[in-house]
Amino acid sequence: MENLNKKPLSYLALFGIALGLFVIFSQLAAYAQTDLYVRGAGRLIPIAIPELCLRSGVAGDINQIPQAISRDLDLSGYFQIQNPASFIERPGHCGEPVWSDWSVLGSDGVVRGEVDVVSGQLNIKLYLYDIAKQRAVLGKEYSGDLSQVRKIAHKFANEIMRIYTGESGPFGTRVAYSSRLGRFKELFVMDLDGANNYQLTNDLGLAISPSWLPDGSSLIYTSYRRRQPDLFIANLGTKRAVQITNSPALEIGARFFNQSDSFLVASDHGGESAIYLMGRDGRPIKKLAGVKGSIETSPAWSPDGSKIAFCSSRGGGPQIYIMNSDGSDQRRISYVSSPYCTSPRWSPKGDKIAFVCRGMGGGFQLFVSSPDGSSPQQLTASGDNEDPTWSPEGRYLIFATTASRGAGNFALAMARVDNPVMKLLTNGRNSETQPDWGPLPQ
Amino acid sequence: MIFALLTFVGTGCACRAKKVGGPDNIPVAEAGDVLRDVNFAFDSSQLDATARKILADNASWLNANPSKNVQVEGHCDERGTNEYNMALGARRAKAAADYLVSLGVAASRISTVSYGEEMPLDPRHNEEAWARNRRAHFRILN
Repeated sequence: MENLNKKPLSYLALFGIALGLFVIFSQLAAYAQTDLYVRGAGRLIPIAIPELCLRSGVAGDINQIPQAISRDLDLSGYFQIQNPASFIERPGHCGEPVWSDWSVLGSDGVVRGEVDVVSGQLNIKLYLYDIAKQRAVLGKEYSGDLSQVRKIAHKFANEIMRIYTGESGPFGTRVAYSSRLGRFKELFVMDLDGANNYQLTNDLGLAISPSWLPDGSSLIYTSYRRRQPDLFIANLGTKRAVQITNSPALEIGARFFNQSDSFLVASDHGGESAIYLMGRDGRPIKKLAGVKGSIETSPAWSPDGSKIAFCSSRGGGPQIYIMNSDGSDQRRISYVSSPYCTSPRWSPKGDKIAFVCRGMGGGFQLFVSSPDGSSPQQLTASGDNEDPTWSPEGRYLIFATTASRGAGNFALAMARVDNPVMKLLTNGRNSETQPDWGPLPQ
Repeated sequence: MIFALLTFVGTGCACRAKKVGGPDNIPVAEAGDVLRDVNFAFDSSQLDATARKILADNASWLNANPSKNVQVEGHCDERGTNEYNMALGARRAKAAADYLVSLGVAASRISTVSYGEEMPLDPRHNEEAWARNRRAHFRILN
């Protein structure tokens, strides 16, 4: 066991809430929203999210809640967030909405709420009003302190998603990624909306290919902190990393399934790059795919664990293959007229595989197809787009894209798979790559 | 939540400050000097005639300097995905190392490592830069 980061500087906590809020807001500002239209957007639902009503007490900045809900619903790709500067109703209005103040703005829905503060504890009631029906269609009550308001906002955003789309949203989840820090690459973790971004590793080398353990407690990744590519598991709570492998061989692209003691990984410890099932002790349990002279990499579980997608160059250039989890029945599934396809990720719904192919213009583009390779669909069209990772509920992809900042400078973006309008999650200043979308909070 | 956030932020700052001047775990990208780099075609670890001539020179030098060990680094251009390029870099390093062994350099003197596309020699985003960055580099260890 080793300390990833040295002792926490607990005195910093004394700066307390004020600095915390500053961090959150500065991050929100840093990740200002820019939409990059990949294909034509469908109709967006106009929704208004005014400031909350403060019924009693002094609450600090409770309007983090409408701000966080606005950001979430914008990222969702289903809504047009109406500009608060256009609102007629007084900010912080209590009681029922003034219906005509919203219908005249064309709002389909209004998200409002009220807050009571009793000795530092917040009681928060949030409502979604249907302006045409002139009634609340959703109401939830939450309690907690100021440090929990963002979490509450994400929960309510997920409820709003359920009302409008029939399915809860991915908000409240976290994203791990690898980013440049001078010559080095280190791992970072942020909330999906860009808040609470922090540097996890300080390996002073290459910390790459992070992948969440299914319980969200830790990340398995490849690091050169011993001057060779080894696997480590870093615990986000204790900030300690356990070294899993220790050899000059390359192990990369480790992926756990459930809370099992084994994971898939690409390793060349046998002299050829192959896909292995490996134990937490770093010992290979079974070689699942390997062909002499071929590169096998980027294994990905199907959601039920019965199949594995992976990348193999056995036919010449790299292409996407699937196999059963015991290694049997290996077959190619990528047929999109590209000599170079990599990075498969199986949708949590099981119905699609996302992957990356080099396009006609030379750029790398995202595709999804059925797991058997049928009905391939191209999702992106400009720049380079790499490393797709699915939302836990299977409707969205996060990926690294150069579409916003140009060649070599990757930012993370999120898009609906069924209507891919890119929403930027990071600003691309440190070439953020290899995102891995964490599980829903437990 | 905010307190937890502060702990993380504080920790990140603390360890950065602490480790200034500490050992780097990856070398700086540099062009070969005594031992020249060999280059590869896109998505290939094949050694062409030019590469074999350079490797023959490198093998002569290593055979004339038997006390020196060498680490062969495999590198890729930025195109393609990071994980695939890591594996491709490993194959390039191995192809170059195997050829040195075939020319009489003891395998025990040679180690290999891949840096994939993470350590470009030329940071530009064009064909000329990509061609330079697809390379095996030979780092003399002692």
